Amino acid sequence: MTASARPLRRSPAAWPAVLVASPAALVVVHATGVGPPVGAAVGLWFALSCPGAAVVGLLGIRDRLVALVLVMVVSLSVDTAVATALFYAGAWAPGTATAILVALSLGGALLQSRRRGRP
Amino acid sequence: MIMAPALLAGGLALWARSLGGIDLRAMDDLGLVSVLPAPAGAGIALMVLGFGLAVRRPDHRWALVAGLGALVVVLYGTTVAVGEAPRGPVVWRHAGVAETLARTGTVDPTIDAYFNWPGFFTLTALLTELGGMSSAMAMVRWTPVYSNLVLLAALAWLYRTATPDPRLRWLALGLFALTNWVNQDYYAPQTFALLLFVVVVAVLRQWFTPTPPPAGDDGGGGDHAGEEDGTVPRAALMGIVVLMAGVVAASHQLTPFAMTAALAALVLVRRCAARGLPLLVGVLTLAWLAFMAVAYLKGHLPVIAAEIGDLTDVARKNVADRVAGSPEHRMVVRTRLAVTAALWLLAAVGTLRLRGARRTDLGMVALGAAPFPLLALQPYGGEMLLRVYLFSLPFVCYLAAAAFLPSPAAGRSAASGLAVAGCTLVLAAGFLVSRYGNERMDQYTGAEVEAVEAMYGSTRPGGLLVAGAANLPWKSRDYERYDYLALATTWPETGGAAEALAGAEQAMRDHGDGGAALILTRSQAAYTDLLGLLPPGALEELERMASASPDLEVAHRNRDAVVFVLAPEPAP
Repeated sequence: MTASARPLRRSPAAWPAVLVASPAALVVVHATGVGPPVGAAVGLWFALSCPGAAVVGLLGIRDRLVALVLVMVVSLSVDTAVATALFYAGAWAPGTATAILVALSLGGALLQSRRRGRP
Repeated sequence: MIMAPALLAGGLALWARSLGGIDLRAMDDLGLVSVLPAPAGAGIALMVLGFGLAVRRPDHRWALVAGLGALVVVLYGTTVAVGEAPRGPVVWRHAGVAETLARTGTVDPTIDAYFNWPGFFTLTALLTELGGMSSAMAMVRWTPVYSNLVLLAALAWLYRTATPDPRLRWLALGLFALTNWVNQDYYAPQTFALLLFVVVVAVLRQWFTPTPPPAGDDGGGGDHAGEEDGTVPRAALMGIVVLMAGVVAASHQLTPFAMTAALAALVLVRRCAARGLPLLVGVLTLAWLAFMAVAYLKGHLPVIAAEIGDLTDVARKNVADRVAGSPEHRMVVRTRLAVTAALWLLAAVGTLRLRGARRTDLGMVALGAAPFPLLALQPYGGEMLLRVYLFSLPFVCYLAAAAFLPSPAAGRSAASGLAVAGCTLVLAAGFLVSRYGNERMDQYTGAEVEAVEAMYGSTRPGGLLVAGAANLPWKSRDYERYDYLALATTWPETGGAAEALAGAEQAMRDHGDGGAALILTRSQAAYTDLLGLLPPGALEELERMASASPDLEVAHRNRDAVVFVLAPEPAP
């Protein structure tokens, strides 16, 4: 068994908190109309980390490098899939895309928290 | 122990202090090296040497991480740091495509090829909105630096699946940083798709490698979880792989074919347990072509079909036609070919040395060779050889590094250290020439960007934008609402600038709503001169004639550009 494939029954403790705090920060930034650079940093952080962390956090990968790369790349892939689907469906609206990604993040946080709570 | 960090820090300081001495306006057709101050070059050399020394002591990981990061900033950020605007016309166009999607809310595949593979641009539209930015241009400038850093992180993972020897892994990463000269790391679908391609391969090598390895494969001793390992849910991992493959299929024309070839190669050498995956990715690729890119195929299928298998045409467009232009530019192209050949030769030596050390990894060899059949597919506008180089580069760099460090016991001698130092220094010099050889035309000044703004201010959506050549920072807004004309593509055989100007004026007069403007810039002239597309000085002559024409008037002029519009009709 290798370092990157050690069994993991719990996601890293901070992930569920990040998956809740990041969308919250995004909502605050948008509601208050904070623009770049703070608004851009919050928006890009959310887009580049949360969708991937919601999924990868459930996989039980403890290796930091592998998890970091997967979180970013899966985030980009999920973002792209959501945006592309909305465009082709004729339903593109930034708010809709954001709502879907926020729901995914919160869902991931919930699942990871429940898993952490198991004995 | 202190030597490597000292060289890295000293080199970085020397480079940083020299930045102010770089005058990009003074470049000739050799590009950046023609204006690079000697201390800056010396700083880069010191950093390369420092990194090479650090590789010999891989237990000091912080020095390697910081050293490689600094090297990437220096190698990929020099012209970004001293330039005045994002380089090259393509990033501006890509921002325009994303702006069109965000503004219209729909994908109209009849506009052009970008709208048949819109994945990356829908992502850009989303990121722009989430970041509260007015345009994607706000995040494109430093893309070459951060895209290489992210890619190197993915490669660090990939190389761990190939060898337990940290020296070999770090040297391979360093070689990648020194040889990724092909300029496919700017804000573009190719940059995005290459990252996903590498991660798909890393996932498969980490979790879908059959154990034990087949005959003839010594496995290399890399970090594989093995197919029996059940600690990470395979179905979820496969779902992620399919998601990434689907996103690549929706984002880029060529990468899905490279990915299919790579996965098929892995299965062929029995280094991928997911044997049906190449078929699935191939079907995804063809399904996207058949159902989502129909508009593109309708207009291009006969041309694409005619080019398949025409190796003479591929060789002509990818090599012969590229060794053209000014004498300095021909030297740049020959340097690129030499660097490419040297790296491939090193990889061949590395493959043999790995075999001799009984550390063959057939998977890495197969992945390095997999993109080459793409050459038979089509010339890809004369860029297929570049793309083959790019798709094979992650694996070729590993094999090339193995030429010096085929086993953990090898490469400990002073002679070996000198060989690594000499090779990396030569590659660094080759990188600066190869990557930045077109810099005179790739760089845009603030004045040129200002002139493009003035051009948009002189016209309205629906108008006609005429340029001497299509090398300028345009199309970043209202992409689909303007008509574009580049005179260099229809430059008359006889009559030269006078005929070209007459044609431009006629087109401007004939155009209906939105008005029309003719823009001539410094970088357009550099582009046509450097590549030898027009007779030397042709666009300067065109500008003189346009300035003297009674049918045109100057709407904007600065030191690097001029914008003309039609003069008002004289009163009867």
